[in-house]
Amino acid sequence: MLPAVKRPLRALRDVGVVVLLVVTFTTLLMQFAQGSPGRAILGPRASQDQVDALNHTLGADRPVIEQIGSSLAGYVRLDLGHSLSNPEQSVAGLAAGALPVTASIIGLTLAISLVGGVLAGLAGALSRPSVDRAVSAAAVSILSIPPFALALLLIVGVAIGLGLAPAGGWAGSWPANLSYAWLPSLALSGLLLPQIARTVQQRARELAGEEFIEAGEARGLSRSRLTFRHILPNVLLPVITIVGFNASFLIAGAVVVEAVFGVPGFGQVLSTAVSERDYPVIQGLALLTAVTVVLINFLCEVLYVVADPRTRVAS
Amino acid sequence: MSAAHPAVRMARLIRVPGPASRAMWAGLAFIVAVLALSFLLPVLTGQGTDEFVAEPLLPPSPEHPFGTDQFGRDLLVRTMAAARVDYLIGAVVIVWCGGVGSLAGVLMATVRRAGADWVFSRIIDASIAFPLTILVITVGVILGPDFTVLGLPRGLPSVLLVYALIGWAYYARLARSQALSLRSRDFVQAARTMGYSDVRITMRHLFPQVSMVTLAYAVGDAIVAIALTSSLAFLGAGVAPPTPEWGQIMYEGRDLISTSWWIVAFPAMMLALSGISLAAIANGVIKRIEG
Repeated sequence: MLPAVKRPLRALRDVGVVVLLVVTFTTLLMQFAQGSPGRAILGPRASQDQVDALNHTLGADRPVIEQIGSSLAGYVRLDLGHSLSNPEQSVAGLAAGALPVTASIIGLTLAISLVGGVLAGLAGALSRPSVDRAVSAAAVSILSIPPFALALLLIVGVAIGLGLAPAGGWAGSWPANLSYAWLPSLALSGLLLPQIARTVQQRARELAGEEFIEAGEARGLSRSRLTFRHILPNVLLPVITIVGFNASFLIAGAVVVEAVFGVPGFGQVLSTAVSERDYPVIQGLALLTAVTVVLINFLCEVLYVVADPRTRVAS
Repeated sequence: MSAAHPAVRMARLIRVPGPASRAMWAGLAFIVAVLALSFLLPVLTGQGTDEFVAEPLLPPSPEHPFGTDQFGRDLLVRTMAAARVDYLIGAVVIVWCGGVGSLAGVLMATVRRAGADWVFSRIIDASIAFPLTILVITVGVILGPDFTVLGLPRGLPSVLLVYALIGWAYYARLARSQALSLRSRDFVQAARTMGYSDVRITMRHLFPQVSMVTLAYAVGDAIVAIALTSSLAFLGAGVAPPTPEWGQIMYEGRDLISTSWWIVAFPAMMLALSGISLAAIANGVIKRIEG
């Protein structure tokens, strides 16, 4: 079989195994409550009948193997169970409602980070040393502020101080959402943009000394052509790796930034579920986000093969 | 995938400009000073971390350098005392996750059976797929709000449990690739020629080398774990009040941010300075190892 086909196929098999393990882990989590998650969730004042009923609803009164089996059977039908506080509400439905919001925040973050990070990195590597140092220093400073703290700073400075964006909320329709989405996305970009900028900066600096760039210069290619046609494609490979590696941190960051801005995505679903101790919702979100991370990593692997011709010939 | 491990590249990204060793010692001095103040300050000032000591919402002044919060508690005492909890989380990540991860990674690189390596790699993939904050919340709800062990503040056990169970996986990957590249080096080959057993080579030759590098990276990453824990407060989870923790203090001050900026500003500053210090330490150690 061609390596170009074989490698993704092998990766796909691995993805299947990893998803299976993620399901197993999520189901096993309930075992932390030493057999009675119902007691832990309802607290010491609840009657034994209530606790037994909740354990039955959660399926915690069955053998572990059976729990894993029935969870798997449910997940195949996209059935993640039902909310405890509102039994009419399915977890899958809650997640489906929040998904577009979180996906658009993360999508916008990716766009801001890729464009901003690549441009800042190239600018740093290919201009005067003072610019280079400024880009490095800015990247290190921003990286040391966690996204939720950056979100608070942006609310004070940009939303309240300058009045450039609402301090929180969601319009519910596009393109009106954009004015609510850009500030949370900017806060979340604080996580990814500096990493991309630094990676591009280092790689571009290495590339600038390579022979094929010198050869290009000797042929009289313009600076912009050299930068965007010769350096940029080579710089994108490590960027793909960085994005894949940060997938789970991006989702964790998005959830918190959404909670800070009151955006009705996964963050709001999660914080509501926490205040109501709604275990099935939380467990469902843990599973969904983990599977999403696995899929993003797989996607990055495939993208890497597509973007790098060498991996198609080798291995 | 690419040549360098992502975590390796991550740590290189947070490289602080300037001479490595001077930055390293400055970083170490900062961490030690904050840790000392976290225990000494409540004793020296005679103000508890949860005590009404002055008028609420006083701006920073000579008597209360970080101001007071809406409950009239001194924020210098609270912000410094928060380092106990936050640095404990960092220490668990460095010692436990870095240590166990190094051991697991070295063992993975040494086992002869490819199948075992593959199984372990998939377990690691699955472990690091979970966003840590969401996993901490899941375990927190299952353990119940009043769960505590070893006298830890409420909410902290689920954080430590999740980092202890999952965190090592990040470093196992890093240690595995380190160990694989070391295996072909001369000193390992020499040990093999001497007839040393695999166990001895693994434990006496590979593990010390690999764990030093892995621990150095764990030092740089500790701030990520601290920041993730702080952010839990904004989801209504994490270390329960009134125990001082940077995220919790910032959460309590979030609605007052435009009038009483100091409640949020000082914990944020401590987070950022701790992060820069840990990065400087990690960077200095890595430079020393790599020469």
